[in-house]
Amino acid sequence: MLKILPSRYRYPLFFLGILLMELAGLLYKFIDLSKPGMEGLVIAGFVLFASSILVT
Amino acid sequence: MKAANSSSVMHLIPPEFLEPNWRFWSFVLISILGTFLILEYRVPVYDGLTDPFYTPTVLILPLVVLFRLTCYAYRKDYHRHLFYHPNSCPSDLRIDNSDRKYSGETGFFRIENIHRYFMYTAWAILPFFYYDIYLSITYSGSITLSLGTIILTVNAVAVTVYTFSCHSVRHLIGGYRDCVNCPANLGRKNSLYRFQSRLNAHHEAIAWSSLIMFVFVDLFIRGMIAGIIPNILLLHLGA
Repeated sequence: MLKILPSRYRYPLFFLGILLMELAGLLYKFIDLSKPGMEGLVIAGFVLFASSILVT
Repeated sequence: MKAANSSSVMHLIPPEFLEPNWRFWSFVLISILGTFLILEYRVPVYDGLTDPFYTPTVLILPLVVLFRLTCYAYRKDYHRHLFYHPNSCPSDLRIDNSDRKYSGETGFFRIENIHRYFMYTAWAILPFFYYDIYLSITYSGSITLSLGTIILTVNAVAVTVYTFSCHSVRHLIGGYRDCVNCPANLGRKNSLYRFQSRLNAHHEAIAWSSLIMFVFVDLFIRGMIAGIIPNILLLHLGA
C-alpha cells in the first residue's frame, strides 16, 4: 500500500517549502541576494515541498 | 449597544477565520506572497507563447481565483485540510476542538454559492486560452507548431474540461429537475447530462490536474525565457 507522510510532518514541510521558494524571489528582488544564494533557497524549498507530497 | 454591535460583527466573521489555525494562516501568507511575486515577476509574451497567468492579467486572476475558491471540489479540500473541519463526511466534530461543530456552508460561507455566477465568467475566459494557442501558431507570420503550443493546448483543454465538469454546469443542463429518471422525464435521453455526470464524478481530480497544469505552463515559459528549457520546433510551414 502506498504511503504519504503523516499530516504532522506533511503540512509544515509543504508550507515551509513553498515559503522558502517565495522568500528566495523576494530576497533576490529586494535585498540583492546573490544568484547562487537565491538558487540554493529555491532548491532547499523545492526539496522540502517535494518531500511533503512524496508517495512511497 | 457596543457589545451587541461587536457580537453581530463577530457573527458575520466565521469562526474558521478567528481560530489560531496555523494551516489556514500559512496558506493565507503564501497566497499573498505568491500573488505579489506573480505581479512582481511578470512574464512577457515569448516565442509567441503567452503565460496563462498573464492572459488579460487584470481580468483573469480575480475571476479564476474566485471561480476556484468557490468550486465544490476545492471547498471540500480547504474545509477539510485548512480548517480541519469536517475531518471526514460522517463527522461534524473536530479532533482538536470539540466545542465547535461543523457549520457547513451557512453564515459567511453562503457566499460560496456565487460559484454558479463565476461559472459564466469562467466560460468568458476560455476563449482567451484558445486565442493564445492561435497566437503561438501564427506569431511568426507563418504556421509554427512547437512544444510550447502543445503544452498551451493541453492546458486549454484541461481548463475547459474543468470548467464544464463543474457541479453548476450539471445543475444547469439537467440537475435542476427534481427527478431525472421519473416517468415525467422518460421521453428525455439526458445523454448530455449523463456524459457530464461522468465527468463531474472526477471533478476534483480534474480541478487539481488543471491547476497543476496551469503552474507547469507558467514554469515552462519562465524556464524557456531563462534559457533552461528549449522550445522544440515541431512544424514550420511557410516562409
